[in-house]
Amino acid sequence: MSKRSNDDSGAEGRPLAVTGIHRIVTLAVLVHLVVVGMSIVSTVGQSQTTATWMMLAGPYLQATHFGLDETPIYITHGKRVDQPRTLSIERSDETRRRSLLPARWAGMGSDDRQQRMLRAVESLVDADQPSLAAHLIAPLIPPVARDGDIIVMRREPTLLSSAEDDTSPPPYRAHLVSKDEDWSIVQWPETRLTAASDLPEPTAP
Amino acid sequence: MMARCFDPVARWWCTPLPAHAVRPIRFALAVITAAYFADGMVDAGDWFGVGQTHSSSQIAEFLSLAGIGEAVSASISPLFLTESTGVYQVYLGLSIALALGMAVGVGGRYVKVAVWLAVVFWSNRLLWLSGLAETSLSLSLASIAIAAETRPDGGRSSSNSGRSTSNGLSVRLLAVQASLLIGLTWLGMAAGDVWWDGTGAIALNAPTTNRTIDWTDWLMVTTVHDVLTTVLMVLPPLGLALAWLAASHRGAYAGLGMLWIWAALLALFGSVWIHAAILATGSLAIVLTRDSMVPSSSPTLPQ
Repeated sequence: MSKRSNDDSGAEGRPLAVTGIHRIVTLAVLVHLVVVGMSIVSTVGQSQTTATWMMLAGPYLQATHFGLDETPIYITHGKRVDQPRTLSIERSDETRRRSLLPARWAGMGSDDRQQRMLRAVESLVDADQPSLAAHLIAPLIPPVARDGDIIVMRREPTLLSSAEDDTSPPPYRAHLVSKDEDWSIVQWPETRLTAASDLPEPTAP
Repeated sequence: MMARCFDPVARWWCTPLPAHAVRPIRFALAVITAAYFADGMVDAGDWFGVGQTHSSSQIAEFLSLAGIGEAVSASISPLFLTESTGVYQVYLGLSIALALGMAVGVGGRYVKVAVWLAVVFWSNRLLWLSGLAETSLSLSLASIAIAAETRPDGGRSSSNSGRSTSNGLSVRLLAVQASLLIGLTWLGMAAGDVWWDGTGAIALNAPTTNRTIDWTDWLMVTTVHDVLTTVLMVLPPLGLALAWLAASHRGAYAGLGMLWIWAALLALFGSVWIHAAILATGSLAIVLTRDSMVPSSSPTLPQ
């Protein structure tokens, strides 16, 4: 491809005469790139200094949606956290699981949004915030739900998930209790019970 | 002294580029944005309606209960004002029309800014439902909105290439941002064991229930997943180095080709379709930052 020579502003071959405006614009671009770069790096790990900078840059990154929040930049590390999740409602007298989220075309944006919602619920459960998790799930309860129905979030096995991953208890399990024409979602404190069962039996005096 | 160090940097960023450098990028980004909004129409009815899990009132109540309202206070979007799914569908429809307008070059910078704002408002409304695609799209559209793309003589002279500082700044910003995204994606990947033990390609496709194409049968062949994992790890640094630094045009195009292959593999195995397409478009911008590689005209693309 040949070089062009007909220019009207800042001709080719002749170096641009840098003005104050150029310097200000360049400085702004460099600050923007540093902030964006730090936001991306923060999804992998965050130092205390980075956290402070991110707090300061938060309004800029949020208002423009230039920040990455919690989404990791690397697509996958093949860990348990990368396993897909399902959320279903089940009955003790039926083997059928009814998904609480509509089926979507795998791998498309709609499918990704469902996974991000389920990941948000799981992170609330992990942070010991079951009432907040229930708040996100409550609107998904179908009209046919009955008292005592069980809501379960499962991690689906993948080619790389270990036997331990596949047999570990679901990250979230709760049952429905009808309350004043509304539903109350009560989480089963499974992990705590498991921990309690590991304690040694008390010995007789 | 300070100016002597800083001026070469400022010169690189602000050296004008012709409008031809911007057009293919603008066209590609506009088509990707239209596809992104079309995809949003599929499930807008699942989230934002009255009583639904991501409706404005549900979100407000959730943020108040969690005490994190302050943390997301800058996620501004007019879409928080409505719970009518019809309004969301109309918003997405109009955004698609704007993106197509941007593709054919209607409205100049105003339409490009409008498309960027449409993406920002939609992404901000999604809150924790948004991901990589929204951020890379917002960054790329903001960069391309800087470009004036106009001919100072109003297009009367065929010799006028519409050179401007805004075009140069726009293409370079897009190129550097794309390099940042690609480079940090690669570094982030390198922190995972799967990218060193040859199973990275399997990991990418492993959640097959969330992947558009299930490549399990192919990936179970040891040679295939080992080679693919190596290719996925080698292409980003090599492609970036060649696209930016190769002395010859052929070398730069080879780098671009490597980055496109990498983006295609990410899309095919990881189903990150929109994000990969944006990275591929950003890679094209790297090559177009070289004045000598900008096509002299773009007869097939809208002026």
